[in-house]
Amino acid sequence: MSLERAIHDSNHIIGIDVGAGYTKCVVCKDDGAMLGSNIIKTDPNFDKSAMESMRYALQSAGISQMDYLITTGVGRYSVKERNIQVTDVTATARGVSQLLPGIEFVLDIGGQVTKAIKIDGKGRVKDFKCNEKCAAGSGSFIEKAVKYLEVKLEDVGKLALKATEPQPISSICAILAESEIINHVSEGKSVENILMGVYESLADRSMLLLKRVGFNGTKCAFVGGLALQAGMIQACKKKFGSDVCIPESPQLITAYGAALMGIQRLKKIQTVQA
Amino acid sequence: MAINNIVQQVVPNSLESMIEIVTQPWEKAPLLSAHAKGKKIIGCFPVYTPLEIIHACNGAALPLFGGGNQVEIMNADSRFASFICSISKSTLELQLQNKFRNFDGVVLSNICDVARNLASVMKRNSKLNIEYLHLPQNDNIEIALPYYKSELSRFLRKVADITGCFPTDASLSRSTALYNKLRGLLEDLHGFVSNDGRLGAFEYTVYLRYCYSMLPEDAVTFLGSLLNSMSDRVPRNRDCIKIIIEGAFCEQPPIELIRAIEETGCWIVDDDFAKGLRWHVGPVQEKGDPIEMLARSYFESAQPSSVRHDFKTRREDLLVKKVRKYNADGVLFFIPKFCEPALFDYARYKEKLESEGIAHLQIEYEEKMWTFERIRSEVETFVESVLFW
Repeated sequence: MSLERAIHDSNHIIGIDVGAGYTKCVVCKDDGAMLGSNIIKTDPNFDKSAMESMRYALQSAGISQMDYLITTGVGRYSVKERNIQVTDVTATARGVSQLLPGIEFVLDIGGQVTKAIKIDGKGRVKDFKCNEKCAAGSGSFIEKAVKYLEVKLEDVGKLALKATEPQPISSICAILAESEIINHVSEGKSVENILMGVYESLADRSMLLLKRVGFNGTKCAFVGGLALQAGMIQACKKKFGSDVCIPESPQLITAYGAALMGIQRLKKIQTVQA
Repeated sequence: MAINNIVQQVVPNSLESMIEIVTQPWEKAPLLSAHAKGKKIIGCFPVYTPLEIIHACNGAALPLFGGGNQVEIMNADSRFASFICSISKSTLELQLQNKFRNFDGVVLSNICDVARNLASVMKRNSKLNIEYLHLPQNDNIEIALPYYKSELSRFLRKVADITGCFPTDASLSRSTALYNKLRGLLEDLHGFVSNDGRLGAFEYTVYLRYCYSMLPEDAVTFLGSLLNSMSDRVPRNRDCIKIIIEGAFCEQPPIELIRAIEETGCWIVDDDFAKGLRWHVGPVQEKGDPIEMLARSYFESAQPSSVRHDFKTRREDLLVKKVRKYNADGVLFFIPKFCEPALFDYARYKEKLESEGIAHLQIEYEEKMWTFERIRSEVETFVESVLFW
């Protein structure tokens, strides 16, 4: 895509977050207003997913042209049409600081990676840590648990809220954690209690990550797909002992942050070229 | 990229095939076939060797860049301490594994203490002709030029002993002209890297090294066709920062690392890779005593480098000039692990760049690397810091 075109057309900036589980796309005007968005499951071909998500997002925005495309997420380098790519840590920090000004700590639980980020007042990353051990600390673990418990993914958040005696999941390894879930099932523990146990174990691991970036019990933003699940939000509030702030559309925050960075970059390019 | 109908006999049809050649030149270089036609093959350890002399002596000079990812160190560890740079170990390992069996000689020089010792160790462990070129250590004294001229004459006699051909002045001048032509074409090609980015530094480095794996006559033909094909390409239009890479000395980073750096959003407008192959910044004089002209050129128009003893030039000032010339956004220092000259230079460069407010990042690498995630993350963060903050 030519940068030259951007000088003459009205500016439509696109941020795409090509995640391991889902691809998220946001279309913005150059004042940061979101015009449209889309979320689709990520195909093994990252470029294809990004283009498809972008097509739907452009449709939802009612426009047909873009001026700057910025990508982030694990598949950011695979998008051939991109103008530039940024890391998901930077993009998330930017998105959160725009929507939740003053927040210092961010927890982002994605499909494969959980990130704890410390940001400064301008949305810059001061420190970050990712889960190291394995998928037991990330969203895909919930998907696995749901499979074993034979419930629908969209129901798990509310189901977990009915728990009376959450069952602990202590294993760090996803495979062993799955064995623990099977043990709980065979011991006759209720699905609700097992689910809340899974959420609490995720919250425990998230808390450890947050502490490693200096979390001091003040407000924390929670973004990513899991921030849509009520059970997970409750588990985080309980473990963190603090306010957990969740922005609107938490799944889209990283793509939105990328789009904001694209706006900034495009303005700079246009200023230099003018 | 398909390169068809250029030089059918010597040019492979894809960049990947060229990469295979340039990463294993001791076995796959096209010029090795010249042995059958009576030419003697002389391997040249980086950084600088007067290839013109070898060519005039009816030799085929093949620049070497260590073993890279292609050789397992099994024997060299017993000859060198653990804190010695990778290229010295891998070059020795190549010799100990008999990978230089196609060679009639190898040239080394006094670019650093390790390279100096490498020559002696190789001599002790082989019947191969190991020739050692004593490059001038002090260019600030009157005797420097006569000294280097006599050293080049001695070197010529040694090479002639290997090849069995003592060149005339006329043939030396012809070889000088041929290498002038080759370097000029390479500079023209580099224009497509630095001016509009239609050619990336990764691809350029492959072509550069590939050209020197051929006889210079073939390389000139190849470059002529390659330059013509550049008009079919479009200038770079992906957003990026312009950077200069400094400090890659003799040990080369894995070639794929250059590609990874470019992917992060870096437009490498100038680099230090394979510096010896672009050694002279202008043509060597073709008229007059050819040996004297080569010696003069070493002092007057050679690339500034940590491994060229040069007391007149402040390399840090030149680096800043280069940044201004290319309007670069920053500098990446590529420092090979355990490379003292690179580390000594880095301190000077760093101080100067910081005083000038020029962004920079230091990267340590080894020739034997397969994954670049850590380096890519560092560079990506650097790019973001320049683009967005």
